[in-house]
Parts: sequence; C-alpha cells; structure tokens
Amino acid sequence: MGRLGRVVLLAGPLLWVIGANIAPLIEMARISLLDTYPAPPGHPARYSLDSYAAFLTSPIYRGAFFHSLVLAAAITVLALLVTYPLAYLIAIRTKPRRRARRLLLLIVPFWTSEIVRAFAIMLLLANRGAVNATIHWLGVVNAPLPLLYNQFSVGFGMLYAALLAMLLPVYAALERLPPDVLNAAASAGAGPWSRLVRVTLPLTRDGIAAGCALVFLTSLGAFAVPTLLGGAGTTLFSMTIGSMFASSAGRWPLGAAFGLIMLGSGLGVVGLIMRMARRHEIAPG
Amino acid sequence: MMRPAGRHGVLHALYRTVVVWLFLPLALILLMSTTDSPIVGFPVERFTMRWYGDVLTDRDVLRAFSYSCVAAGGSAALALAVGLWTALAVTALRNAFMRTALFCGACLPIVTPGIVSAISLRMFIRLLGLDPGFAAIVLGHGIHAAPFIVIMLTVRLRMMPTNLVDAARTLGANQVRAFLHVTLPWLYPAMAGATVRALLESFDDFLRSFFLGGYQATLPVMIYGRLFSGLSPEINAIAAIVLMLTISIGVAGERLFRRERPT
Repeated sequence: MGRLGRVVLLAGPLLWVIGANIAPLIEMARISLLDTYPAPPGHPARYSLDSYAAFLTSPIYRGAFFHSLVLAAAITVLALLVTYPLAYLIAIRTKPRRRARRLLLLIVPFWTSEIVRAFAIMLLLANRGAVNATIHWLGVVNAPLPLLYNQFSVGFGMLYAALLAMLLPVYAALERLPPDVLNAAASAGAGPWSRLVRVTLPLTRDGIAAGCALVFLTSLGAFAVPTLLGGAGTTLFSMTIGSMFASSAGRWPLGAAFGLIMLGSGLGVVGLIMRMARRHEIAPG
Repeated sequence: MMRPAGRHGVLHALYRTVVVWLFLPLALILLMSTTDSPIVGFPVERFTMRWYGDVLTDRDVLRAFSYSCVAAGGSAALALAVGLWTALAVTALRNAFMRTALFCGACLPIVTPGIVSAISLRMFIRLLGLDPGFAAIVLGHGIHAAPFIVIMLTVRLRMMPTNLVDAARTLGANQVRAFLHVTLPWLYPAMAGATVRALLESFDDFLRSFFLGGYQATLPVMIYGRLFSGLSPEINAIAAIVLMLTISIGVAGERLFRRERPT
C-alpha cells in the first residue's frame, strides 16, 4: 500500500477516536471546571473547583457515590459467582456441538431493551405481581411482600443486567483452556477442588478480570434500572448525575464533575482489578 | 475427561435455574399482555388481544416506533462505516503499540459507564451546536455502536488467510479491486452480524436517547415515561411487541451470521 493510502486509511479512524470518543469526555472535564454553564449573557464563565468542592462537602452526594461503589462491587461479585459455574459447564463440560445452543439460551434475553427487562421485573415483583400472587395463592402470607421499589428490586434488576457482560469474557477464557491441562492435573492426583483453585481459576484470570471490569463499569453507570425499580432511599450516584441535566437550572458543571469522578473512580477500580489479575500471574502452589 | 452429565447435576440445575430466571420475567410480559383487565396484576382470568389492537392504532406509539427504526438505521450505517474503516486500519498497522492504542481508543465507548457516556454526549452536541433531537441521537448511537463493529470485524479480518489478497494482486487486481472482490466479501457475514448488533444497540437504547432526544421520544423513552404513571395494559402490549421484535431480529442476525461462517 502506498504511503498516501496508509495515511488516508489511518486518518479517518484517528479523527473519529479523537473527535467522537475522546472529545465528549474532554468537553465534560472542561465544563466541570466552570462555575456556570451555560453561562448567562453578560457573565462569562470562570474556571473554579466549586463543583468538586461541592462533592467533598456534601454528605448526600458522597453517600450516593459510596452507595453506588458498594452496589457495583456487590453486583460484580454476585455475577461472577453465578456466571462462572455456567461458563464452566458450557465451555468444559458440554460437547462442542451443543455449546452454541446452551450459550445462546443465556444470551437471547439480552437482545431486548433494558427498559423492557425492567418492566418485566416489575411484573414479577409488584404487589400484584407473579411472585406475590403465587405466595398469596399458596396461602403463606396475607399481605404482599414488599419486593419492588426497594434495594432488593434494584439489586435483582442490576444482577440480571450484569450476567451477560460477565458471561462472555469468562466463557471465552474457559474455552481457551486446553483440556490437556486439566487432564494432567487430574492424573497428577489433583482433586476437583484443587484443580479448580490451582489450575482453572488462575488460568482464566484474564477473563475473570475483564468480566469484573466490564460489570463494575456498567453497574456503576446504570441509570434506567435503578430509577425504575428503586424507591425512597435507593438513590445512586448515576441518578444524582442524571438529575443535574434533567432541569434547565444550569447544574451542568456539577453533573460534569460528578461524571468525571464516576469515570475516574470506575477506571481506578478497574486498574486495581487488572493489577490483581497480573500479580497472580505466577501460578500459586 | 468427559464425564456423563449426571456427574455435574449441580451445574445443570444451576444452568436451568438461571435460564428460568432470565426467561420468566420476559414470559410474564407476553402473558400479561393478553389479560382482559384494565389493571395489570395477577390472577389472569380472561384473555384478549384488544391491547394489541389499541397499541397498533395508537398514533404516538406508531410515531415513536418509526422514529426508533429510522434512528437505528441511520446510526447503524454510521457505525458500520466508521467500524469498517477502523477495523481495516487496526489490521493494517504494523506497529504493535499504535495498533493497541487505536483499538483501545476505538473501544473507549464500551468501557465508559452508561450515564457518563450519555451526559458527556449531551455536552458534546452542545459544543457542536446541535440541539437535542434526531441528529444527536443518530450520532450518539453511532458512537456507542461503532466499537462492537470494530471488534467483530477485526476478529474476522485476523482470521483471513494472508495470502488471499496477495493472490488477487498477483493475478492482476489493483488494490481497490482486491479490496472489493476479496476482503469485502470475506467480511460480509461479520458485517451482517455487526449491523444487526448495531441496529439492536440503537433500537434498545434508553440512556442516550433520553439525554439526547428532543420532543419526539424513541420507543424505549416512551415506555419509560409511561411506566412512571403506573403499569398499564397498553405499556404491557408495547413491551410485548418490542420484546418479540428485538428477539426475532437477534435470532435472525444470529442465524445469518452463523450460516455464512465457514466451519
């Protein structure tokens, strides 16, 4: 390929990455440092750190932030616990020609909109929903259980949404695992538990780390599911951020700063996860 | 090493439980969309199709639906063009650092938390002088969908036998002809799969549409708005239609993608 051809081939994607992927984040960072935005006529905006100070001094904002971090971490751990055995079953304990079908069955529900999935969970958990109707019909309790519009329903919906993001990277890592390795461990006398802890888990840590990173970031930024399924006292940081843009009251700098705080802390946690995965590179034992 | 399935009874039980857990809520949508009661709730006593009739003659729903479809088409076309170009550039780069940097940069929207993506795009379109509305949604959805296309096409390009293009060149094809008659046909199945993915990403999207949309709502934004006024049979029927539509598109895309893939 000619030199000119290579330059043209590269220029488009490079422009897109900078102009469409990075530029919005830079604009967000810039607005987070302004005192007002959009600036009222006649009063040019000045640079200030007020928005960041507001975060540090307000227990409400910090509370929502920590709530989001803890919830995202919990969802990540739960998603891994649910998904890893499934991925193991499909990638290692299923005949190759049946793998695609088993995997597909877990993927299909994620082709629909998150709004539709949230609505489906409402039908399941509402006071007159499927679960409460079943319990009532069985005659276990008289009053419906409060399953919707609380922490439980938010966690339920977010875990549901997180499964696919965890499943695919973990499955890909398990599928790459050479069967010989497990056979060798077995013939060397390693029991099932020892094979899992000393061979399978360490050798699939890349997939685990990637899945955890993806689930943590998406859970941190989830907005529709916690808004629809949550209630009083379940305010997450994403909802705080969203509310800064809902009204025309000009709270964009605050929302931008909070968005940057979320992105920074999210990527920070992901960096930690990746470092942990790398540190265990030397197989333990 | 392969053992009879019975040895992994716990794993199979877990698998079945999760499949039921994933499908049960969705099945409830289909079931409840046919119940003849103005209040959504159990028990279901009589069945009707009238909510579907109501929805299919509701002008607001039809307008939101066509708006969503056109936005999905536009953003998928944008994402496909950008994604194809980027995948070709990533594959052509010989410098490993540059290749990784471009690929990671192109995948940035995937790792940006949803709300951060939505609000940063909201501020970005203001910078561009764009009002919330159709163009903003197409751009936002295109930016969000492009990484999926980059990944799918890069994987496919890496599987391409390196001597295919060389052979075409030796046989006298110039670069453009070699690209059009060798590389592009090799990519068709992946492009079909990637396009379906981009269409679904856009049609399903709520967050970006919510923050980038103008007066006219996309279908998910409309459902979201109506959900705040309580569960109603009409929303249920809309959700059922969206559910059936998106899953059929996904299944069709999956078949298209798998069938044309050489084994």
